[in-house]
Amino acid sequence: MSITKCLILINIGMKHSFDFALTTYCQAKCRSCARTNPSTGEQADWLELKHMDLDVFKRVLSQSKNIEYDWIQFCGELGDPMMHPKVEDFIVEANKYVTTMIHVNTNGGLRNPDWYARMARDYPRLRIKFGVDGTDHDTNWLYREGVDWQRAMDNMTAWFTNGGVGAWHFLIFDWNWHQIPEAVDIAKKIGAPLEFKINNRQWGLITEENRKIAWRLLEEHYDKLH
Amino acid sequence: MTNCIKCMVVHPDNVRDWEITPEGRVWPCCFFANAWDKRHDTRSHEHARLKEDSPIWRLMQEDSEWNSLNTHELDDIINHDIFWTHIWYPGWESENPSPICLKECNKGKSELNVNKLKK
Repeated sequence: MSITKCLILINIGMKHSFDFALTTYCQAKCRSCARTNPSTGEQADWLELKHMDLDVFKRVLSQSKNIEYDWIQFCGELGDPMMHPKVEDFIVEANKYVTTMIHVNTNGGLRNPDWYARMARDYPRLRIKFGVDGTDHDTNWLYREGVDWQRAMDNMTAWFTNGGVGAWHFLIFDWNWHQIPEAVDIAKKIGAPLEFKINNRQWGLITEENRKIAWRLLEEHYDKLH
Repeated sequence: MTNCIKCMVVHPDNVRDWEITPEGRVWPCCFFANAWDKRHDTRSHEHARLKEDSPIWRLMQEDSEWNSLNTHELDDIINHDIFWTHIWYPGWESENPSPICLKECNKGKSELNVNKLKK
């Protein structure tokens, strides 16, 4: 049997999930993000600003009938998908081909609550993960510089209160661990499943001492650990 | 065998993830996509690692568009031999695995979750 035939056999019955990076544009200057110069905090000089071509995306999905999709995600490495002016068209198109979930990751600070409320109602298979790392503007800004925290919270609230599925993704830094109880309270109020992750990069890395206190707070307030 | 690559995009329920850049390049994961995205960054360790990956870099020289959706079908790209040999178990279990896989995913290094707090 040729190697090609063997490879086809390996691939039979396999599902595939795709993360389409829709754009390299972003309004934020997250210090540990690959698009940010870690020394200056400004956009990296090598970065090419580019949006994905919607026509290419449409053609790819329509011509790939042999692929069994597990899910499609719009996240990417260098930009926020909500910066793409046609993000809704990408979601509409993905919705035609994916029978499970369409995932979107965003900092939440773009577009408005009406848009999120409508999307929650119209696309039940859409799942949005909001990256918000604080319970107030100044704390969130320490990592997600450039994001309008109030707008992000309003959008996230509109999403979840209109039946949207997804999560509030909270990265724990040395400057925000004390907000764990408040974040848990807010998440309960707006019906957002809350996911904590520890930042393991140098910018804002939690100290060993604070990590122990953060862990205690999680044990006391975060139901998912029990 | 000295390495133990635990790929974060190959799942036990027979699902494999892929990363596609805004220009339409298909890569096996975000680490490869990131290495490609940083090709204009002369100080990038990630891109240097991609160039050190002989099978991948040889492909780039032979056909610079080999993984581009502008010139190839998605089916053809994800069924490319290299993704089922070099960037797959035979490659990971060989003496010369991809430098990116070895750097990022040896011994489950890329795993990051709140349970690590326990450790």
